[in-house]
Amino acid sequence: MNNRFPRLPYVLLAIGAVLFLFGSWWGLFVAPAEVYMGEVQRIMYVHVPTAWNWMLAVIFTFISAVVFLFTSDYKWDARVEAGLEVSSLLAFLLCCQGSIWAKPTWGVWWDWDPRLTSVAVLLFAFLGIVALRNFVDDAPRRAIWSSVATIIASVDLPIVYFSVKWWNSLHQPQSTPETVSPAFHLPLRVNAFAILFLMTGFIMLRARIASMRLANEVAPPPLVEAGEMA
Amino acid sequence: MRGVVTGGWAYVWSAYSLTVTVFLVYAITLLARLRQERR
Repeated sequence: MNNRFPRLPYVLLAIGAVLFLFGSWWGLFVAPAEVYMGEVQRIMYVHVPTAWNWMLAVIFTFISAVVFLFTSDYKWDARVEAGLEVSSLLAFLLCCQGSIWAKPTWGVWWDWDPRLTSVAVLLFAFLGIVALRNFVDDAPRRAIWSSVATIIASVDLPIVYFSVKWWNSLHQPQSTPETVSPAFHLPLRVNAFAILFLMTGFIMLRARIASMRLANEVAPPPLVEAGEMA
Repeated sequence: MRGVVTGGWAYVWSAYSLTVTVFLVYAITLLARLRQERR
């Protein structure tokens, strides 16, 4: 996808930046303050879209890992590498934004609550896989190990999603149009699309870097002989 | 009123500034790495 549309990631990043400026301006200066949380609730317009897109990035990485194991096509390994890094970036951002929001509302920067803990577990698992990839020089081995590790780590994603339902959590349940006032919908949706465009542009550029680096290495041998996988 | 958070703009600006900075720095590192790989 990268080679056919070389300028696409830059276009996506530009659209994402414009949408993010608009959504943030609306969220900061136009949308009303929330009744109980006051101005602090405006953090929602970056925190919730970051959370949604982080989940999408983890799902993308998981799918890329599965497809790589089935096809042994290295473009999917490049996508795994890109997905791991961008997911880690979004998870880091998510934890920091949540922490900033937690201090004035919960009174603490961090709590070992099921939602926060499960997000942190996935962040450190993905960072570990990123580190693992840097230590393994053998391309086929690196690709297989990191794909398997990604699939295992991704099991944490449903735990993150359902943690607020399964356990007694300080964190509020999932936001839906029914639980969020209509006055807050526009900046929330605009920033969700903004971060979606930014995330997609980042993943495409990062996958391009991974592909170029792989091409610069010695051409990897085929993982298996034809028909051996069956 | 009790149970109502007052003020807090500093937290809001911190969250938005952090988000913009992280995206901007990451975009710059991506472009730098892309340029490095092309050499």
